[in-house]
Amino acid sequence: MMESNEETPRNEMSAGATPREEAPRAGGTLKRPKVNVGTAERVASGIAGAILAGYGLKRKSLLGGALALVGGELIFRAASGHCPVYNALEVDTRERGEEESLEEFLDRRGINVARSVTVHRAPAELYAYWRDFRNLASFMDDVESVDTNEDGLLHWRVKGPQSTVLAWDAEIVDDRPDASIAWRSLPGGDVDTVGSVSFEPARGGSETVVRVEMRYSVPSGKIGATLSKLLGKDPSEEVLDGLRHFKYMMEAGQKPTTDGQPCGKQDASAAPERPRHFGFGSRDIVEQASWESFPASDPPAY
Amino acid sequence: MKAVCWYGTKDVRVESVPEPQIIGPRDAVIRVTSCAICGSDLHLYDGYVPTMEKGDILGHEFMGEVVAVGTENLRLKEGQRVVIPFNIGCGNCFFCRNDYWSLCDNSNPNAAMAEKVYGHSPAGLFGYSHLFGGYAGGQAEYVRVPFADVGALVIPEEIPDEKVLFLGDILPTAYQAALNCDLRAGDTVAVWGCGPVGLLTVTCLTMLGAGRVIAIDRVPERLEMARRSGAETIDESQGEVLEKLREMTGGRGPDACVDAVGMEAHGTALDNLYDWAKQTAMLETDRPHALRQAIQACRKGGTVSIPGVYGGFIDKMPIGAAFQKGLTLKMGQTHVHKYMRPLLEKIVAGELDPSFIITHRGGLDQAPELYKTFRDKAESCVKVVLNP
Repeated sequence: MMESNEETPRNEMSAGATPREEAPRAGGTLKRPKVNVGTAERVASGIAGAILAGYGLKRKSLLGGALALVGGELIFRAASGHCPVYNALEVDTRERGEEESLEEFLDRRGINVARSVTVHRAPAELYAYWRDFRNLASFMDDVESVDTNEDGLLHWRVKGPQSTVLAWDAEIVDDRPDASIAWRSLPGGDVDTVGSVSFEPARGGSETVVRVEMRYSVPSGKIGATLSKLLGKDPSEEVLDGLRHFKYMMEAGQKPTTDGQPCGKQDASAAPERPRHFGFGSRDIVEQASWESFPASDPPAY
Repeated sequence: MKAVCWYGTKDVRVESVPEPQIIGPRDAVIRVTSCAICGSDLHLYDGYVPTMEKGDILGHEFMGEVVAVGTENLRLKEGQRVVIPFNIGCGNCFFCRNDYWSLCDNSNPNAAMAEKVYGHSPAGLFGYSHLFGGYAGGQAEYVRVPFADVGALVIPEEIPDEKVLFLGDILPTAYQAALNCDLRAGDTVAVWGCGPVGLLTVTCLTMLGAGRVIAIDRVPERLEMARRSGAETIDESQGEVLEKLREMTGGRGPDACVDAVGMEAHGTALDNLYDWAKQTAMLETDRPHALRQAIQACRKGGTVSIPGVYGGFIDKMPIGAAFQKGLTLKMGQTHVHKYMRPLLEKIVAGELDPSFIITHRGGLDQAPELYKTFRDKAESCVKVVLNP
């Protein structure tokens, strides 16, 4: 299936997309629960539910009854295609339908990232470096290579989980010299994605605000993103890391590093001293400090 | 080579480590001829700076001879004598281009960590924790200097190390602290802390034409040095600092106040004890006694200049006094690159000689005991210089 003939570039798509967004709503009534589980998952859910229910009923015990209930719930989930947990988490694992455009599908199921950085160079210089997509591997850690063929298609190879490589072809759908580039994946690749980068002049053109927007869907969808976030790989942070690296290359000509510098011997058994006063995790550091300062209403002590 | 390494609170050791190599194309490697222990190294020594790791090489005040340069470093040649700024600047970002070198965008490899703590990342620093990049420091026989093409200041052969060593940190820090006072003719400035930065701030204020300088400390020898540099003094251990300052300034208060103490203020006032207890219990990172006094003492519409180092959170900040008196607070790590050259010119011209603060000298091997001496202010110690 080729989307390119039914689609307009994403920058101009909003008007055309509106009727299609309403399509799923027309199919269901208010009473029927919304389908939010994908077909493959419904099949798996049904099989697991049947096994559990059968096993539970055979045991004829309290535990067996409970298992049978869970199995029944899974069968219902498979039959109805509705999962209340997904509903609560705003997860929707339905596959992309015929009617749905790539952009709509990614809005529903994709990971959406937008980050920006200000670089102390003119837009034209930054655009030129980025427009040669082969350069992306020099500042995006996860990108193994981006090759361009004679048709102007981009062949992306990106490191996936567990040393796999995800590959897909993409086409450039919008190219405005010195200002912006937008691309979208073609069907048949490992990842569905649309992306864009814009170079907006600041301070009279001596600086540039570089803004990257990416939407992508990998087989595990939002759940995968949540999991990888828990494991410390936040897609938004990764895009920011890439932008930061781009800025290092464009401004300083190199990425700052201490790799290879000497240090005293480190006792392997002892964990490195971790910060004691504050964690660097997701906790709000100002809020945390406010609590530690509590009660802040004490009179001054001098 | 030998290097002074951090292993924990009050635990620094001289270790044998591999010699540094050129890593980036703009790097240089320096054979260190002189380095100093900075007052801010004592914050590391006392364990108040997080993200230190065992084996980290200390030292951010150092100078020496260029022994290797990277392929793109066209400014430096082997054999040149150079002083290195303690903060690392790329020279090309918005901040470096605007002379805010200590705020460089491109020199902290751990910028993501610093952004979580401070909102944005300041420049990388030598030997000052992984929050500021984890760069190996200069209390060693050799040190690798990133972006040395814009950082290193070449020193004329005839000037001895001790006159120029402090160009890398405390002299520009004192100078910036003095400039931040926004002096007008006849102004009176009070300086909290007569350590190396405080004493050099007194010197710089006098050089810049301050009317009167009042120095505050609790160590008799340091107060004596401040008097010799032209300051009047208040012995903080006798108490009543605010009252004395008010009397000495005809009730108005100093036009500008300098906090050259920072996060580990000593003292026995009630707020000291409160801060000490909270800091010991890890509930507060910094002890801001001097800063509170400076804000309280400053005349209406005056300026508080803060060269003393703060890294985390403080309690009981008298923001009401600062607001209601319309004070200006100026602070931050020093933009060393900006001030090195003009200060070198003053040294070459004989107008300035910061070496008077040096009280102790030794080799790298003596670093552990000299850290302790400096920390305890024993033997009238004010400034330690090591010659690897």
